[in-house]
Amino acid sequence: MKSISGPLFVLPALTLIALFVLIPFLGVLGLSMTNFDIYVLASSANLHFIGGANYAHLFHDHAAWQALETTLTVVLAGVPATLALSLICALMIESIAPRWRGLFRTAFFLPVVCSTVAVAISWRYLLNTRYGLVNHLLLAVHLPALNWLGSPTLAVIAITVVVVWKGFGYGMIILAAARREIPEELYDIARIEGAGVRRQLLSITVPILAPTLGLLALLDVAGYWQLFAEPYVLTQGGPMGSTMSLLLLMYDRGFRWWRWGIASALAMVLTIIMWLFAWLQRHTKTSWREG
Amino acid sequence: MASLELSHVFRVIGGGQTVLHDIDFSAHHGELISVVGPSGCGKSTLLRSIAGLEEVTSGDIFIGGNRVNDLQPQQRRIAMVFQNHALYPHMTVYQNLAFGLRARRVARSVVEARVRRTAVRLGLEALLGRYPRELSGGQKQRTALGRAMLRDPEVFLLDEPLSSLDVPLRSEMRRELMALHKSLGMTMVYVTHDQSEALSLGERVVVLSAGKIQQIDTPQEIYGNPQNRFVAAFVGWPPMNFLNGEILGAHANDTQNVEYGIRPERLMLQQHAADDLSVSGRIECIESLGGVWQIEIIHNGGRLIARVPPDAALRQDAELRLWFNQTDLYAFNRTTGTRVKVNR
Repeated sequence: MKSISGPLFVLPALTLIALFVLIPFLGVLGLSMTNFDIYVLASSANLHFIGGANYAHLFHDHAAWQALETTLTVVLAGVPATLALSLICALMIESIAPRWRGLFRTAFFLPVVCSTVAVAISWRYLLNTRYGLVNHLLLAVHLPALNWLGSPTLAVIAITVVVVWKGFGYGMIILAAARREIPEELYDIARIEGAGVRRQLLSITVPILAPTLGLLALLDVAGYWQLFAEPYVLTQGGPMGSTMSLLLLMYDRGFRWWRWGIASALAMVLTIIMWLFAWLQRHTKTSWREG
Repeated sequence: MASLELSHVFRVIGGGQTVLHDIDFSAHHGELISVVGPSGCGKSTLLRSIAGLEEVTSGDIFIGGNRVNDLQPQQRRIAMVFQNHALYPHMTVYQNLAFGLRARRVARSVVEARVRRTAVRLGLEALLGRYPRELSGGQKQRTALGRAMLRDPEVFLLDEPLSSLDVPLRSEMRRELMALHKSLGMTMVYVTHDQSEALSLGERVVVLSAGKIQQIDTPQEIYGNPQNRFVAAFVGWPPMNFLNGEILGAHANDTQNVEYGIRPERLMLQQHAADDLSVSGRIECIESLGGVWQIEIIHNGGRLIARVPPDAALRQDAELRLWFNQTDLYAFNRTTGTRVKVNR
């Protein structure tokens, strides 16, 4: 009895993992090595095993490289920006009078719990070239209005801004909690020892929060690689494919053109990239606890 | 010249609560003053005010003869040790010790030499590469002490530095602290809630309650000559017994307004002098503490604790008469709590 009770306890979780992770994963892996497309939907006789041909196709596909570049840009710019904003707001919230904390915490956290599509639609209005509030404000301070979603460079920036704005509240809550765990005596001692505000931040706060920042970086990287809804709603991948993320490209290939083989290969590539990043981060020393 | 002087220091926090009320005392150079009181009496606030971590509402603080009210903590020539050690968890012992010197941009070679010298003095030289989580309680405490010593302070402030240690370690560290105080010759202010610690460490003891100084004196005087009921009750363990005047018929003239106190260790099983007084009651419980027994008797509904030599004849629920010398009796004004002369 004892010997099977252990496996029995993990069975429900394992079943769910198998059902929703392992089986689809294997299915996609299989699909990525076939020519599955709209003709196969018409007749399964058209289905052939084509090995790595889809991957080879992607390797020569300009759109795939551009999607990789765009997604990587959002990850590389967005993750540090999110962490920095999370940290700044967390420290700000912990240092202001308690009665204002609730207000700011709510205001900063609200985007996290809002539906991404609703957020993206609101931002589409805010960024509208002619009627948008953003350009309205720019004009008010005598700066030129910008074609936010119409220019390839600006569109990537705009999407990164939206993604960061939508996501930083989560890290802020976690970091604020972690900051509260740091005993105030450490700062008392620092003041007695003559360490200024800057030194307190860089020598005490940031190093002690480093493990938390590392965890958030891991979560953010994983999340930002899966960028989809923001470009889907804001730009549909345009202009000129500049905001086409890997996931959006996969969706485009799979559900617009019914080229499931190619789309599956893209999904596999994205999976491998994310594995790589997770592995890299696991082996980067961000934590003094482990050191 | 006094190395530390507090002159009519008040601290009023928002809401009008007075945390420190007219604190006025001085410690001469090299003196070890312990500050004791129940939690919430303001002793930590007092220490933090001296350190400059909190501002005082009025009054002056002098360190080494200079008024320091307007100085930042790092300019006050003080060092502080906290109850939870307050070591930086992400820094090694070496980095913890060196942090202050580095912050003051002392040359690297000087930092190295001074840290090593202090580490050797405190027996930490083998631990310099370790992180705080790899240290025992005593080693953490020594590191915190070392860090404070490296500041070369005029006044050394200790906020319950031993209360997070277990009992055997605590007495060991207490001895080390005393030795350290002797060899460094610094003025020390030692805050604790533990009256026995305060008495054993302090050359003088400040008893604090509700933000007011109740008494400043040598440990002997605090114990033997308490100026009010609070000090009498707070200092000494088990605490002093308090009796109504009527119980001791001998002093009938002001029984209405006087409360009498007698220390448990002054109650005796036999009469020793002809004018010894006595009180009797039913034995509620007998606690053997090895070489001494602690007996609780119920007298007139009141409870008395006595410390007596072991006596096999004592039985629970039996009647017992306890004797004491009249000179061991303290009297306090029932309304004000101040000490009054015992009437005979």
